Amino acid sequence: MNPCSIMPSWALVLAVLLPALAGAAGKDAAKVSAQELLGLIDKRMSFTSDYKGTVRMREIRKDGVERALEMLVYRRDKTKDLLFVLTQPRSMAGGGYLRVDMNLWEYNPLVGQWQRSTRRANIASTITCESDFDRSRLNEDYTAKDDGVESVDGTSYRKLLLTARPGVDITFPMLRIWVDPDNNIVKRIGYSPSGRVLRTDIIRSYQRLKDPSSGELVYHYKEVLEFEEEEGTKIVVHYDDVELAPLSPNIFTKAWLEGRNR
Amino acid sequence: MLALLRIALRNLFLQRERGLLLFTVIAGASAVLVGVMSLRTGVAAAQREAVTTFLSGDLNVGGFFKLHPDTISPVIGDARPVRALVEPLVPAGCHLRERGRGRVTAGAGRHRTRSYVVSLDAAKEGDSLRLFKVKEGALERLDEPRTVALSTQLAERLHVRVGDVATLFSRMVGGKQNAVDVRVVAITGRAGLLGESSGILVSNTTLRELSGYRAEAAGSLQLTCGAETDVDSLGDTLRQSLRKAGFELLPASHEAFGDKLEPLLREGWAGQRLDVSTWEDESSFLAFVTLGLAALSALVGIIVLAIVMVGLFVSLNVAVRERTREIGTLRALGMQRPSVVGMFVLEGLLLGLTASTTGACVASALCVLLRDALPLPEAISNLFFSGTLPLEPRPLEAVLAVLLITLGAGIASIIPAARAASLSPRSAMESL
Repeated sequence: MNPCSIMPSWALVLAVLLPALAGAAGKDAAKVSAQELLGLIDKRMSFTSDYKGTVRMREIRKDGVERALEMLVYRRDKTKDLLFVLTQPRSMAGGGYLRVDMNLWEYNPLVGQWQRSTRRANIASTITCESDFDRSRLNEDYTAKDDGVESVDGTSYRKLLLTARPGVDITFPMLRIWVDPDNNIVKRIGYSPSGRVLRTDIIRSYQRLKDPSSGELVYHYKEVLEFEEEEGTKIVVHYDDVELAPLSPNIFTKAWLEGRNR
Repeated sequence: MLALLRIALRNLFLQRERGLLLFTVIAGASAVLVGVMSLRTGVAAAQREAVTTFLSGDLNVGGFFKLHPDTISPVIGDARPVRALVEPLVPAGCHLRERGRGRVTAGAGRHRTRSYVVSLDAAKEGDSLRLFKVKEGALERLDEPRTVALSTQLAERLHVRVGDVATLFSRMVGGKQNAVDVRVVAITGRAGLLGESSGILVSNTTLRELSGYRAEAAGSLQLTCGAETDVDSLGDTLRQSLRKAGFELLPASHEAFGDKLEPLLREGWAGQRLDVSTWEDESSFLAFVTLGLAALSALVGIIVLAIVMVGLFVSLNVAVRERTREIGTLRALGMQRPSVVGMFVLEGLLLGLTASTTGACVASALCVLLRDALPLPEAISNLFFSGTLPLEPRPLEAVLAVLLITLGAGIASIIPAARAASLSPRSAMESL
């Protein structure tokens, strides 16, 4: 997919939103190496507090069929805990996903059973996956190299080509990202090992939050457009009602999710 | 007799146009019959090759394990004692291999597809790996951990290529669902309907991890012997030996292991049961292809015979009417009625034999020339287990076609011959 073909639509959005996020760090972006830039991005998007948020997704298929989903995301980055609880649609409500160590478990409330899934598997039969809602781990998972600079409407975007480190279990073994002068990823394309485009994401907007634990400002996605070209499916993901506050450790257990359904 | 043969031959040459037309019709009919029979044989051979390559040995010792009555896994929990018992019984020239089997769902991105899985030990299989038609990648790489080879059909359905990652989902021994990410290392060529139904190949280690089997577990022990071996008697010997050794065996049934899962799940027992099956049992769900072609051959045979018989009957009837004078003369010269019948029947038999032999020879030669040369559309190639037209002419079948048509020609000429013989010399002479 030619990234230039979709530039004008999102460039306008970025031109309006991104100046607000501009900071001193951005001015040094061009000077840091590609790998250091990944570290900067990860740092800007990492919380020390626990995280709770509502993810609302609207999936539009090629044939025009639309589907809306809503799920709660609970995250504790310190212990790498992660839990998704599906709340909408009603037919899927009560189900969820729990990460335990390197395994992702899927809960089916209809039969009350947990099924082992993998971290690459899609969430709730959409084109999203676990890593979309987890903390940013670019520096840990990928080695980066510069892939040039692309200018759109006077703004230069640094392009990086990321290749997965050996032995790392990730959805996209290759990733190409576009980073704006403020170190925000504005676009990313995930590739399969054979070089096929798996998914294209446009990060339409970010939200700025204050991490109560560290007292620093952190950045989190607000609206992301994910697009699977092959199937012609696109999904708009909204990250709403984000709360950075301590969560009960009981949340990250199978019993807690099972208990919600009783 | 020799005189009758000479007269019949002369008559055939005298009526050149009619004779040539009949010759062409009979030769064409014979060629069609031989062609259909070659196709049936070719498809059966291609099916056997595909089945014994992908799915089954010529003879299999498999098993079903039920941890509790509500779950079932197609596995021998501890294959060591079974192997120790089977190995000494393997006839010379046969090989024993360990293959796993099961049912999984393969997924990549949003695409999911359900298929039977076959597991093998790539390092030990050696030569038999070459029987797989590999389109892309290398099957030897199945030895690497967490790898998979997919059939062309499944790879297309999942939209994956060599190097991509897919996920396999399967039910474990206890009934829980498990999933493993696997890297695609090879894409196998089209293997007929098996590409759709059994298009996933993994290593035995990967299947053990996915299904939660112990290291000493094995899906099945398969004997590969070749077409000459009497697998039924060998199967009986194995059954008796296993029973004598104290193993519980399922009764022999003409069903694939996948078709046995559901009925066995409904049974109330728990534990291990062994099952001895032949390649024909394991491919029973594909029998409709060979049965269909056999029915087609029979239908073509009937039509061909009808055409030959009706053609000859009409033609000889006309000949009798035209040759009344000749018959009268012959009768007046002292030819007896049986000799007249013999003359006409011999004419029909001669025509049938020469024409059908020519047709069979031409068809056999064409089948040899066109074998594996004519590409087939996808739907038909799936049904025929081959990307090209699988023709396998056999001399015995050609001889059978010739005999059948010659016999038909002989029968068709009896009534006109009897009519000719029934003419009195006087009435024959009167028509002069």
